[in-house]
Amino acid sequence: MAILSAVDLHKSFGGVKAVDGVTLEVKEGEKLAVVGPNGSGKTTLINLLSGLYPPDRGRVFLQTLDVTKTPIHVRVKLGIARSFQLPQLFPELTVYENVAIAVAALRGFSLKAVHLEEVRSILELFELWDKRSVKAASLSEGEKKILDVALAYVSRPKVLLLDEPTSSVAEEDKIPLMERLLERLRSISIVMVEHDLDVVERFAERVVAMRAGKVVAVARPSDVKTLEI
Amino acid sequence: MRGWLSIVMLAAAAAAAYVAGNQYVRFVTAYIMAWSLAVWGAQLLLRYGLVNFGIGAAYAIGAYSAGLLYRHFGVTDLTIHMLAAAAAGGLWGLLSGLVSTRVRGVQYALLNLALSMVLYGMLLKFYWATGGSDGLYVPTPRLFGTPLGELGTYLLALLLAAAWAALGLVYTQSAAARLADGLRINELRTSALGAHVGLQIAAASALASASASLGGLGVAYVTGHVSPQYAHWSTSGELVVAALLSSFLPQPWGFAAGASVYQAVRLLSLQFTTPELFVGATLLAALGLWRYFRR
Repeated sequence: MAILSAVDLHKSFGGVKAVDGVTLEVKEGEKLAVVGPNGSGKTTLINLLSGLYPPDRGRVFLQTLDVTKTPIHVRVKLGIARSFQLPQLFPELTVYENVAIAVAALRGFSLKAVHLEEVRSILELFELWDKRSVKAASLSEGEKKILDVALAYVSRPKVLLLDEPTSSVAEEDKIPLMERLLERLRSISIVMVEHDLDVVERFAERVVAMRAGKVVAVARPSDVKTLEI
Repeated sequence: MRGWLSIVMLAAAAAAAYVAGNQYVRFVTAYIMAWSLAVWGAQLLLRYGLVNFGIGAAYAIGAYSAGLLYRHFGVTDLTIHMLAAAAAGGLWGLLSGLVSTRVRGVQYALLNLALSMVLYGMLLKFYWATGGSDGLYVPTPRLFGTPLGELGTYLLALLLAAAWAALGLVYTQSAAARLADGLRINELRTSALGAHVGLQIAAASALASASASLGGLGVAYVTGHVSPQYAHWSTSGELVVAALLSSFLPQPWGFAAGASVYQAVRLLSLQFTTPELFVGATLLAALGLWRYFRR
């Protein structure tokens, strides 16, 4: 059964069709990779699925629930969370405070304190507890990516949208980074936009190729390097 | 624990000022304690990254609540005044928060300034209701039928300031404060973590305005009078400057300390022919020194 589906999604910016009639399904627990050249509409697709942008046309479903017009903060509570290509952190705050904000975001305007244990469990899961007092701005690129995903994970999502999780990470660190992330996200459905085909081949279970805003191929990871996109 | 202790010490110092001070000291201290509630409101919004140059509107609403209730209905009861001030101020904050939910930075400041100046104009023009530029008399409130008098009004201001310091202490450690930091630093990320940005800002705005409104009510009790000047943008400006000062001072009583420093400088400035210049120069110098020593 599909946990997340997009039906005939369209999004234009001015005269540019960023996403042009994309239809896809993500199965429960599946790791789906979206590949394609720069400007093919991958990040716009993630923005549409996460609710950051409303589509011009088309629908987005979480299981059977139509979430097309649901704003991003409600989608998070329903189970769709995301990370960003450029990690969206709170740079002048510590790693601990970053996660505390993520916990607080789910609570709303509450005078109850955020408890240590709520933050600690997330930081330990992502092996960031030792870095809890370090400012987010001082982390390495890989650690920033992990923290960005950890923030998204706080809502315990059903679907996690990862926008280029290995971009700006050193070549030799990409595979260990993905191993570290996916080991912790085993039970979650994942849609990852990724440029590195080695990463896709190794970690994805299915690949969707995009070009000029359209889906041009659906392939197995083992075939990803032979796709003409 | 240290936070709670500091609140008790502050309250004790204010009580000592009443015992040891003359009538002028008592008046100024009561005025500052009441005024500091409005500073608390402005400081709360600063935490969200919102500079509200219209906070004076809520300050005026609180003061006029008592003035209008007395003038038109003869009500002098403290509880009714406080409930009316908190409710009217909170409602103003909620509505102005919802109106300005999509704007930030200078646009937010100017939109709220404009709203407060609309209220200022109304207070001036509806003479039959508000007394126009003369303002309204605000009587000494009564609690269970007994007039509070000078001591009662002083104690009321002290209790409110101490209660707001305690509220600030609880708030500082709360999820709401974390969220405020998140919205100030990275609104996009905070929204993508599940926070309803508009609702958060409207709630903070309502709380800040209710606080400012009660501050205005307290000041009106101390001075016995309210005028449209309460809603003027220059009053908002004073509150924002005091809130900025407060944010450099230790919490949870930074708002009261900031209010005290600002009012002390303002009182000193009155002996000069250009008081605004003195206030501005002194605060700039203080800020410069603070930055120099912090480095």
